[in-house]
Amino acid sequence: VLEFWTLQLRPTFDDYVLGLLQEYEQSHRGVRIRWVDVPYDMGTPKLLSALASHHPPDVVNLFSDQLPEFASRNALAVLDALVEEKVRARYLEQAWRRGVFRGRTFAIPWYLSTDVTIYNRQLLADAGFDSTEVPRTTEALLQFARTYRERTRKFAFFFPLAREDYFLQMLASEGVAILSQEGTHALFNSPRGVEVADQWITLFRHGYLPREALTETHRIAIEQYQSGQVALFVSGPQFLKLIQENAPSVYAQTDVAPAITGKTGKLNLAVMQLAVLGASAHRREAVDFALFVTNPKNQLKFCQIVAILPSTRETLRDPFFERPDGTLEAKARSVAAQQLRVAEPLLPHLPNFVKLRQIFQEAIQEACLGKRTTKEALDEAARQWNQTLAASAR
Amino acid sequence: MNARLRRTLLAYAFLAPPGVLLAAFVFYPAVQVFILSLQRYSVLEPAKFTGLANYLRLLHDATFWKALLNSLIYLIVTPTLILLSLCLALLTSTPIRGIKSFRVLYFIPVITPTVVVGIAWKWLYNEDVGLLNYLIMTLKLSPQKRYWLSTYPLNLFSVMAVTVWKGLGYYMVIFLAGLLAIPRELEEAAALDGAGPVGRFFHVKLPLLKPTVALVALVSSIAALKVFDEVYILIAGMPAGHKTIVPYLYATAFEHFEMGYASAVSVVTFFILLFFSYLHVKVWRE
Repeated sequence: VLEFWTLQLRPTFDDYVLGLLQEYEQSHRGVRIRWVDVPYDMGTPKLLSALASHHPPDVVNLFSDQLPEFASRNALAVLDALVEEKVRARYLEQAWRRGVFRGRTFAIPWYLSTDVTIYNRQLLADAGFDSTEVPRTTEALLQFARTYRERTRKFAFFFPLAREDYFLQMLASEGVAILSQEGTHALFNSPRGVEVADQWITLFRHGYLPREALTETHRIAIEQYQSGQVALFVSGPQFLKLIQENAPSVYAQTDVAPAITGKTGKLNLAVMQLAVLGASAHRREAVDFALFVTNPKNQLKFCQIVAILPSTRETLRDPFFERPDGTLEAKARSVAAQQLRVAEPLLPHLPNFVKLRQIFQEAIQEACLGKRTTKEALDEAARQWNQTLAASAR
Repeated sequence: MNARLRRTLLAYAFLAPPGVLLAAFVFYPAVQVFILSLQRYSVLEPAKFTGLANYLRLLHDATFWKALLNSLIYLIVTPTLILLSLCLALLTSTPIRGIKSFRVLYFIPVITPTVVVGIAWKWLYNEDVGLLNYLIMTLKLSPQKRYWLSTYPLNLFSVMAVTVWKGLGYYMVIFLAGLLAIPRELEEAAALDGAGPVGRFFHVKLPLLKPTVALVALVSSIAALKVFDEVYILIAGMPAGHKTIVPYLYATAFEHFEMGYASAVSVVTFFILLFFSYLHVKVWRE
């Protein structure tokens, strides 16, 4: 019996996943798969509990940010010797690289996502903008936030300034180096880093962003968009389905545009992965199952259900991604697929990433609340990053 | 087997099942936490004995002290709860028609899940479009909006208000039970002696309610020191220095994987709780 953990796929994708399991069990006599679906936020605590009680799953779905925490502590199986080169070549290079930590492969890429700009045509028109004026760069977005607020007294969008890692990604997209080549020193407090960060902090301080931007996550961006409070948000196309279900009238006014990027034109590639636990008694079988789940045929089926992108080259070549069928989801999928060429993970894999991110977030919060200048806050965050990185290397 | 021995064995037989459960799920983990506090342990790697290193680190951890201070500030909910829930109990113990429905109404927040309460209050506290800011601006109580959840220490007091609101009905019921247990003859005798409602309250009811006040003080202060849900829901995104000790402990253990250090925080928190419990019992006994 192999235990397979996924992140928040039930009940929406029950039919798809159960179909996969049935097909695998039928073609692999004697193998049974026990499927456990875990809420996204509980993924790490539940995996820790399972490891502590010596009953970990065999195959686990990890978001790529979580990988270093487990890989750096030898909790995951090294897959280099277990996956043949020709099999590895099926996957997109930038997606596969996300499973590599300190030169060793710990995860197989599953589905991918790049952000698109989702906007409300009606709200934009009410504010005197047309679709061609949807911002494409961070600089244009900052100006758009000001103009929209001044014209409507409403907020143009929600951007989680101090939660998750969007702010760091935005800096990286603007060409600000986050970390030294050796990965030992923070560089985001460079003059350019301070300049870019300060633009956002000033925007917040002058009331052009909702106050919740300081405390809330990306989830609020979706909620505010669905309730018509904001005119646009930047997210993966898979969230369109949510808008369609929860706010059909807003969905009717919704359109999509390419993602907003910084000066480099780069945008982040989000990678969902499958890893095999080091403690698994059936590593080979677990890897075989993970390769089955992520094979081109099964990924295509998954992409046909929801607007995600595949990590396999063959799937991506399928005409399905090139021929929009007139639906908004297909348009978004097509835009996202075209962006894959320039998409790459904008932040490096770092052990203790959660702690580093928290240090950075608190610095941004202090600067937004006026307790420190942007430079002072980023300098302090960089000092603490250096300490944490040095401690992780020991 | 004589009757006395049989009775003793029977008593132990009844005590055994909860005893086994307590040993397995409370005492054993508690001992393990103490052992872990002397180790460096991340769950993913083997534990390494480090002696008192975690406790020494605590001494220099400014965030820990800030969180501890916030927990002590949080104790303000205890006198607030005693005062308000006693007032409510006095009001709802008066023999007026339909008073029982008020008791039910005040108890509803107690049985409402904390997540639901937290989300509802988050809307009320919303700094851009929340009802509270709308009211203070409309009624001209403040020239500008208040940042209920993002500025310290106001955010801590905002969370405390939710704890008080949610706990009020529970402690009201305890006081109500205490008030109903007071013999009516004592009050009637005091009334015959010329004592008014205020005099009867201070000279008859309050002295007899002393054990109930002690109980409420003990239970609510322990709950205040252990508060997690409200803080986690309302100000999850704020720095650890804005929060109390248990959310700090949770983040240390489950977000930073520092189980040994988090265990040291737990042990210190446990002794603080023990000290407060001892203090309560001692003060109220005297």
